[in-house]
Amino acid sequence: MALQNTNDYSALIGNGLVDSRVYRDESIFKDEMKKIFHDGWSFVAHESEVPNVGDYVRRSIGGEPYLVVRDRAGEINILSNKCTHRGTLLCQQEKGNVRGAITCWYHGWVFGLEGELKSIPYEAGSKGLDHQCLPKATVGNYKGFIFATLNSDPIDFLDYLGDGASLIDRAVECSPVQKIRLSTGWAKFLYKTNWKLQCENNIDGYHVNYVHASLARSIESRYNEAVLAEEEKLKTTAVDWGNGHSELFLAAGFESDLEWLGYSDVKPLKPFAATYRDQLFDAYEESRAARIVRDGPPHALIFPNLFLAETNIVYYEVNDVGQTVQRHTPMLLEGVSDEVNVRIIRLCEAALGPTSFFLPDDGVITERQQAAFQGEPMNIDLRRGLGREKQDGMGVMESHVTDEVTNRAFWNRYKEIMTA
Amino acid sequence: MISNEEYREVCELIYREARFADEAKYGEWESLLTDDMEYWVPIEHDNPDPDTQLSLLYDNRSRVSTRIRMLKTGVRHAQVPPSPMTRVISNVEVESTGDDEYTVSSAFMLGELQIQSTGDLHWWIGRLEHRLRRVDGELKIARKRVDLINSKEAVPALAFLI
Repeated sequence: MALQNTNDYSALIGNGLVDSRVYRDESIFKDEMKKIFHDGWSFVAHESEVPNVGDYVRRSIGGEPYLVVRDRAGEINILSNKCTHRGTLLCQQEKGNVRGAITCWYHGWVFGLEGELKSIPYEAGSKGLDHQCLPKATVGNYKGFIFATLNSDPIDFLDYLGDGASLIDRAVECSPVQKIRLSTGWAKFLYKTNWKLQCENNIDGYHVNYVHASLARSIESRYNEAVLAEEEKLKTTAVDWGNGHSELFLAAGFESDLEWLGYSDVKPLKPFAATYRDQLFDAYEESRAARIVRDGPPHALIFPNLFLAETNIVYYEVNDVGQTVQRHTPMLLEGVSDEVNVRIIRLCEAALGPTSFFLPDDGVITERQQAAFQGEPMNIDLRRGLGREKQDGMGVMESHVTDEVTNRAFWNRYKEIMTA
Repeated sequence: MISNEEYREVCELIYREARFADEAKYGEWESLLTDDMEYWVPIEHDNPDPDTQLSLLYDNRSRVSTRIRMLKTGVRHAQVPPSPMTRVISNVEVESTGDDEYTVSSAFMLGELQIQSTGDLHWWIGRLEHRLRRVDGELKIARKRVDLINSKEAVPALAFLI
């Protein structure tokens, strides 16, 4: 039975205990759209997707259709994709260029790249009427990662991002010129689950042995350390960075350079990979270069919807309580050879998306959770590690990779927002 | 021009491959491939370039082997048990592209019952392009490209052999 509009989130979410109604209840979903996605910050696009004036991509912000557009001054605007006349979607294609202005093909209203209403046909009939410009979302840009909120007076963008900024830094610095590019297009994977099950799964270090058993039995990969070792031998850790952002620090298990590009002591660096390593040592001072070469980009969730998936960028399109679209694209690096980027594209196809070696299995397992939640409510138990997680002097919580500290990071932030 | 015998031999191979895939006969399916086979499901349809564009799937032969090994483990959850499937292949056009080499273009419709979690019936529809080569007297698949009409939309798990 659906809860009423006064959902009591402090009762639904305990310390590592989550009432399963939060994954299936329509009224909770509506609350989330408002409080998390409309009033708060979420990831929308990367600026490299709209390199030229007039370029746009279509995105949804908490179910609302928006356009991410580059204007004449080179600034990025996020404009409603609904004509203020009768609501018709202005741009139907996923991406494109509007050639200087956005024209509605219903009655010919024309909007500028900053959302201003420029002209309407037969304007005498509109004399004295306050026809509206396109609503604009508030934009936050950190190193090219574009976030948005529909709130005109949101919390400070950098306060929201918090230590998430350092996670983005660690992704971007894998380019010797500190620039990434999302230019190969997105693939979209449809899950019949609530979006939060995907947030939990992608940052869960406990499931690998079982969900990904078929891969572990078929191939030597850098995940084997995380998969096959005994509990006390696992070196990787799970980290709560605060503000709902969290990480599986896989690099703690890496033993050679560029393991995150698929190399190891049994699979030595190809010449292009060695060149890339040298470029990093030329670009950064030695200890930093050594760390980047060893660790690579993070495996981290930026609350609520951005998943920095090592050499991939992933985000969730949240439009329906029981259905989620996970989009993914390779994180190409500027300033490196094409071979490095082709390698990154191939890794993306292997790891992510509907045909890949990982995600289809995550998909069916989490869909089985969603199916189970149609029955009587139950408490999801995410308490693993409560007895052994450790907080450092900066407030960052760290624990064994199989501990659910990352999931609790998500839920603690969720609860804060939903009870505010 | 190709002969009726060649056309029939090509069709027999394409249909056999379809049946092995439908029936989750992974080893038999793999036995139809050349040692350098390439398996590709692009997202873009117009002159796609796998080196600058993301594909839904782009396997070299070694990655095809990994895919088959995973399916054979019995714990590839997305295909345990295998989806009941039937595909129909039609509009087969065969072009001779060299000595004992053919490029085959066809259309397909595949009904898949996703019994691993949702129980949904999915329709997968698109075009196929096979490149065939004779190896030691036997016609084999050197490349298979699958263009799904909905490759740019959100698609569910595609862990079976498409």
